[in-house]
Amino acid sequence: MKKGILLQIIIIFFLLIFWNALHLGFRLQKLNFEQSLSAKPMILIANEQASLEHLRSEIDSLYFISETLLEPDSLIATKLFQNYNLMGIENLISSFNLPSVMKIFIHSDQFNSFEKNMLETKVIDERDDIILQYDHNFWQEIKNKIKVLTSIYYGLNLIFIFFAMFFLITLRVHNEEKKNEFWKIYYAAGGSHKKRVENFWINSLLILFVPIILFAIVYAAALNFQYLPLTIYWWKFGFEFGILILIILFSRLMIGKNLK
Amino acid sequence: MLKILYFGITLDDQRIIATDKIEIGNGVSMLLFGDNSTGKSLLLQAINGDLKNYDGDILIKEKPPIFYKKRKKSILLENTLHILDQETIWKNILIPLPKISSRIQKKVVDLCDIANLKNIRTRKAKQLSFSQKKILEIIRAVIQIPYLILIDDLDNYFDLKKRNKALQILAYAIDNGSSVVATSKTKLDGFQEYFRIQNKKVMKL
Repeated sequence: MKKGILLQIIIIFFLLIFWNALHLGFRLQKLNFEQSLSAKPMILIANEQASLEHLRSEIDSLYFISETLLEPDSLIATKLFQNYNLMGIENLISSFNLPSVMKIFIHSDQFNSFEKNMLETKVIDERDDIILQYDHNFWQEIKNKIKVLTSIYYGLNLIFIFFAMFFLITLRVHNEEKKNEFWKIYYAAGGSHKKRVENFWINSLLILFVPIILFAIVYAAALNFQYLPLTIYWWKFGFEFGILILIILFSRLMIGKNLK
Repeated sequence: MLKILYFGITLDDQRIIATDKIEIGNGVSMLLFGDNSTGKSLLLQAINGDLKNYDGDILIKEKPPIFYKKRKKSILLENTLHILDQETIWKNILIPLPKISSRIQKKVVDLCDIANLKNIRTRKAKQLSFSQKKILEIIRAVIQIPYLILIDDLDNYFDLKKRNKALQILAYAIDNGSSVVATSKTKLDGFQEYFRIQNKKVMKL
């Protein structure tokens, strides 16, 4: 294998590592935000346990609801006795009419404005006896953070693709042009005119597959030894493969008649 | 092997060279001689397919040069050298060969022996003299046994002794069916057929 091709393979391999680290970093950070949101449930308080039970049956199957926990007034009373050491005054406390509580845990990645409005409408508009407690500011803050993070991620991807295409096409074209003198002598010496084209496509296959196979090995090993907390979506590999094919096709166009 | 019919080259409305017919069979060496600027090099370029602006027909094995665009069957040795100076003599000879059999390797060694290059074939080509580099190009052409070997200005490269060695090397290709067309300013010995350019016309002697 020629030095120029080996250099391109190594560069593409490291670019793939960097690019996939970007995907992984984005997913990790997004997951962190989502987990912090998921950990904060929406709390519903009602005097009548039946109201909450009725609501629970309506919302339990919604796609953005992860879990609903109903705490009846008796359970709240017991918690009060235990947490505040109120043993001995059970009768006094029992004489109060304590409310029931329902906690709604959500899938934060699917809990956007539309879903939030839908749930709030169901709770507030349709049932006056239920009080809703939710940290709306925190929800908004996390959603804004995810939005900014996503914008940065897509921006970085675009910059990376542009940089990678420009750099790799330039490198490939430069590498081919360096060989012009050799091929001129090769043709003058009677060599086959198909040879350079064959050579270009063989090198293209090497440049395409060797870094991807190397990266797949590294990725599989990292997964196997549990160095990665998350996996990368398969379609992203397909996208990267497509970009590498585009780079080869653009390089072919740029080299143009030199190959003929 | 080579048939040239009603051929002519015109540059700036001036006829440079013309001929009604040149025909060369297989395994024949032919010398075309004439003064400077009589169109010898242009004729060789036209046969090789590098020059397309000419009248008439050039047929190699009954097919026009365009047929050989991708499957070149003629090798033109011009005044300019086509050598990779940083590579060895051996590598320079073997560059265009798709496969290098032991038979070909042996033949290259034999031809290098004739040219006194056998013992220095691992040397870099830049260390060779101009005539040695030309001999190297001839060996490289001969070993491929093309239909035609075209040599421009043969008298420019060699003294009599070296020219005889070059002809001895060319004999290997001729014996295997290749034809050789060389040009020079004067008539040189060692060829089977001679053509002369006089008054812009090619005539067989």
